[in-house]
Amino acid sequence: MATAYPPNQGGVPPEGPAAMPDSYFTESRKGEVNELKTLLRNFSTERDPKRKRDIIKKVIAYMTLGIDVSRLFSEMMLAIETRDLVIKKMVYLYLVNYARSHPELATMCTNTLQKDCGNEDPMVRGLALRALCGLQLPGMVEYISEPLRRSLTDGHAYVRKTGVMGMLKLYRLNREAFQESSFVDILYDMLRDPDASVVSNCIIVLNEVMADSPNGGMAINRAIMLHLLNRIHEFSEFSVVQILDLVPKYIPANNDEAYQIMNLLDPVLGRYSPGAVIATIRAFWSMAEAVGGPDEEAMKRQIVSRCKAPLVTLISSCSSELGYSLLKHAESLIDAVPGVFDDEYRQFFLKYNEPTHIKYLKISILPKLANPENAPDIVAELAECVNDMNIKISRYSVRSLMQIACRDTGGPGCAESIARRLVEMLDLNVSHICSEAATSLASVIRKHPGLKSVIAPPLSRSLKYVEESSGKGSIVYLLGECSEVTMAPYALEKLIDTYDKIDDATIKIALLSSTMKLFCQRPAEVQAMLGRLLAKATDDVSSQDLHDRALLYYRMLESGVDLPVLASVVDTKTALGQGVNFAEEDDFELRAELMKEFNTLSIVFGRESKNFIAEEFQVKFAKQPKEHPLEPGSEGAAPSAIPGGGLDVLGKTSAPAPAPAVAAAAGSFDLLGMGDPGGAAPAPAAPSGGPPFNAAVSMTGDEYQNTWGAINDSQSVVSMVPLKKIPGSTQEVETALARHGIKTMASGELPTEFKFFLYAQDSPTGLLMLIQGNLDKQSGEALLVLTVKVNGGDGGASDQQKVDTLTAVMSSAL
Amino acid sequence: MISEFFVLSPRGDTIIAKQYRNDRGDVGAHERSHTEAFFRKVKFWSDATNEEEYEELQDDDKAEDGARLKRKGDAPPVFLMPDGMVYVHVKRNGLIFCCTTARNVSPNTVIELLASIARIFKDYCGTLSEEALRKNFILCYELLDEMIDYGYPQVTRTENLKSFVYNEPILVEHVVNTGNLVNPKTASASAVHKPVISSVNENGRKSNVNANQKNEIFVDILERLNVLFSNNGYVLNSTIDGCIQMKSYLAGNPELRLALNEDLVIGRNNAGSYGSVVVDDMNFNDCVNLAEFESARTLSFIPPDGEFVVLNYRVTGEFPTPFRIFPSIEEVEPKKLEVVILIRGEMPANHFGANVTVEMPMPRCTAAASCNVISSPGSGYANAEYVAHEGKLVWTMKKFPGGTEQTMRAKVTLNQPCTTQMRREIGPINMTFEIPMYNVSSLNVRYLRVAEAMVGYTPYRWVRYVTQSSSYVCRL
Repeated sequence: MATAYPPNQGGVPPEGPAAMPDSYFTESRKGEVNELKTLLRNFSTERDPKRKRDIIKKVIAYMTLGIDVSRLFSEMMLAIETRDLVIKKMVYLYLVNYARSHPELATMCTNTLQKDCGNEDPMVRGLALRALCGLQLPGMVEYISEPLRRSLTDGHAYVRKTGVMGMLKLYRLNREAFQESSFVDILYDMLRDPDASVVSNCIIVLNEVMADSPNGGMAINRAIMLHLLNRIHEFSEFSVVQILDLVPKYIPANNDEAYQIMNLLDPVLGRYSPGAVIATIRAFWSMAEAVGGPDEEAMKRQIVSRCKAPLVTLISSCSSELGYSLLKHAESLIDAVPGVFDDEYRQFFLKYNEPTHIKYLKISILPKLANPENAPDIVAELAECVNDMNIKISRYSVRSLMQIACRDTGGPGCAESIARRLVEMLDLNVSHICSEAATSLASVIRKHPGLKSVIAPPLSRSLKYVEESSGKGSIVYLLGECSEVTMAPYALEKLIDTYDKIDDATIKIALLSSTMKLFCQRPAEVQAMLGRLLAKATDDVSSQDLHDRALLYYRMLESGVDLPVLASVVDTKTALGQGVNFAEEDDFELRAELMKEFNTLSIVFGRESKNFIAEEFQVKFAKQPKEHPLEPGSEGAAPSAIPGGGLDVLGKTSAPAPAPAVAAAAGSFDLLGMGDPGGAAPAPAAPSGGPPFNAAVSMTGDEYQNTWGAINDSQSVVSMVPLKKIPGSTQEVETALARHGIKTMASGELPTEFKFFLYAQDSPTGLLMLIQGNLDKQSGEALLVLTVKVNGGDGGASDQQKVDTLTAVMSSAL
Repeated sequence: MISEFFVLSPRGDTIIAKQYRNDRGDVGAHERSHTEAFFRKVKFWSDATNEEEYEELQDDDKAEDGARLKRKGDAPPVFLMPDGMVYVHVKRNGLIFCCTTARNVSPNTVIELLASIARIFKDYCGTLSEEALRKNFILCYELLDEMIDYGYPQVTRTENLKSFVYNEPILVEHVVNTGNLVNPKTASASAVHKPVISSVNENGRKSNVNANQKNEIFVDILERLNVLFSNNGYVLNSTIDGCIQMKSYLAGNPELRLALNEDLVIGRNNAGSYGSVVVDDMNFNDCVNLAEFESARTLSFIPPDGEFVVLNYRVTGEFPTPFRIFPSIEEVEPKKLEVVILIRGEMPANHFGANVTVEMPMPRCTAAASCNVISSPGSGYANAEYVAHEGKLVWTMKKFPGGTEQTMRAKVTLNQPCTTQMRREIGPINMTFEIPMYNVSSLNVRYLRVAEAMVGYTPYRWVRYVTQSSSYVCRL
């Protein structure tokens, strides 16, 4: 059905009987499309809106089925002039789908689209804009730019949001046009849009547009980061992820800020949104890395313990698809911080009706959770899984048992009990279980040579019925290791006598080295069979390795080497020391790389993204800001390092930035705990040297409310003041602030928070600043969050400067 | 973020397809060969990683045996295809919702997005089925247009989408088979299959709220049980995955208050007084305001339109299991087994398990089995038989009253004398059931009311408790 036929361009009809069926189908399909064409011609004369809709609907239905209806393009364009939004939407859908195959015709409809971009209905404006940008025709750039620019200041958030995405489409269409229009600066500006969906789209677009920059995405500084984090509760489950994904790229100014950010993000963990929860874990992780030092490991452990319960709840409550992805992420957390998930091991037991990929995953996670306390339960559970009807589950379960024994995490006696279970499996007479158990035992014996006596008894018996070559090879290897088994040489002898029937090189090589090992221990018994084996093996050319080894052993024996020397050559010294694991289990480098790509496909595939993502789509981000702009001295360097130049929108270095104010800003943040005594005094903050705020100012409640209301919310500046402790009452705060010229209009204590309505007059400029402060009593972190509006301010950099001064004064006062 | 989105029917036909980005190179917008390739991959997924295993699977094919075929495994939701794109899919009601991407995206977010799309389609079409989507495909495209722009999620909440959507849903008859379990005082389960959208008039403009829409809200307290018994009836592992789900058709979206048990304790470590309800962990929908949760265990929220989960919770540890299973297997003759399964209903007598099914896999060499059910009075129609193509004993009961015992006796004839290996092939016993109006954790809704009392505003509140089996297994 879905095979697409190219439009018949009036070519020669196919000849010969072989081509007949094909042409027959083309004819009929063409017939259907032709029928639609006739219908569409009558479209303009059709009066009934319902029938009109039906005609267009048919076209879209064909499109969905995979039939090429692009030939109807010109007819469909006639239908675009309609007041019926349902029809309009369908035509737009068609238009965007086929514009690339009919660029000239599509250009014809730009007029209508442009006109719709100015429609009074915001829905229509948004729709038209989306369609216009979605056409993706190179010649369209000039038509797009203007409506796009207009949309960014539209009164309706829907249009602005669509416009922002439109910019990304423009960028993909024509980079030069995009860069010429200085859209990047506008986008940074729009990060302060009151509507959360506009902001999240801005982040999306900036990240893609700036992907080639050294930052590998949007440039972020402290002001942007705090601004976004403070608004995080406004964002929906998908847009919040955009902000959370920025956090790992951000280097916090100091440790306190890292903790503050983590506190701000903590409520997200309680949400039912797997994407957001995992993104938060990643953000936490990066903050722990930023803190670094000796606390880093302990902090990571703390983070994983905090996230454990929400993550396990998500895994058990969500769909199996999400469960799979979440389990993969849980697995990498378990690898990164072993031990934390151990007590939740029951959550990783198999359920009856789970899809197989989840069962496999759980079986591979279980051995990682084993500790002396829970190991008996986990071993018993895995031993049950060995009997599963699904061969792969049963194989994996055996392997997982082996892993517990090899890692030796199950406490004393655990490895031995696992070895006993594996030995029992050898006798089960089920081909895949026997073979897998034999292979596992070979690994166990390398880690625990002391268990040979447990393993030895059934070996010669099971050699007969283990069929798979890997398993048979392992048994032969084990026979060589356990030389004290009386029957060992004779079990191997049977195999040597049927040497020609063995077709797998791994068995032959194992046979050769095991026979040699036995020869070193018990030369008299083995000599004859070794001779026969060497004769066969030196003639065998099926495997180069086998052939070479056989020759080496033969020549050594021929030259009359002493037995001890021979033994030292033959002994492969495969035993692992205490506390040493198999190399593939300790792939720390890969794990560290994967943790950097937490919350991406890399975790699901267990591979770094460079291995499966095409080069053009790879993004490498750099942590920012490189030199923290808040540290004195680096202020000038920061903006120049960032391309686009539109960065300082929320920052504070607009052209005439006076140096002292910058120093004040820096000083204020040093108060966060870095203890720069120069910055601690509020006095140097004011350029005049006098108090920064005019103490004589006063205003009434009505004035306050009116002024607050008159200033657009988007012009407010958000800031935070850390306090030493949570104040006992509002009075305490008010008195402290009054001493510095910050007046209180009103304040109140709610069960969970303090609220302050404050104001102050900036002495140099005489501008009034209205301040709303919230102090959450429950967060445990004494943090006063300020929303400041400057009456008569420009909403730009100079306001930010004033707020920084204010923050400095307040933090020293409190 | 995502490049394409499409919905496939259970047979692999494309129902809806939309390309957001042309990451695949220059192919026509109507090209469908990749969705076919994807469908084949999902349908014939093979877990084989090496030749040997592959051959094993081939042997399975030859066996043409339904139960064995399952060994092939299920396709994971995220995998890479030879065309270099990563395909992410979720299955809902047999439909496959899939999207492709060329970038290193967050799998969690993408899967969540696909699940949201499926949920919203269901909210707007009333039901989620191939027929419903085919009839409403224009509506679905309209929704998709608003939900995803250029591959990035935009508006994904049912109520926010309402103002953008102009198409009316075309209703599809829904097959209801809740049967005679429902008493006349309860609303039919099909009541929740109404689409959320209000009507649109001829000019394509929205009319006001549908006048004859009933003012009602449906609340489900759903608990899924995972229990594992050993063969002597001892509980090895037990958890409850619970959630409170709602579907609101309330006019004017008033704020609601939902109160839970006052003695509810969250976190196993802060064990409360004796008899209090302890849950390990809880998570909440974004819209829930938790200001009064700590003090009064009361949630307030403005219900979004459509179906949504208010909260999820998880309980581990001891709880009264509604059914206990006591199996016994006896070798009466070398080739004959006698299997007895006794199940005791341990919930109160005024509750009952509905649509109970007990399955027990038998050895491959089973020739025949004759089953005999001994029911106690009050139980509904029961039947037990050996289903040869699945290799299982299947015992079904319409109704299983609390406080009763049911027994099934099966005489099994084997082709060969019984060995220990064959004994291992028997079991485990899996039980599925549903217990209406009963929950195990004793978490309950104290009240659900409109926050601000309005005169004459009396919404219908339908509260349902359901306990279901998720994995209810007894080992042998």
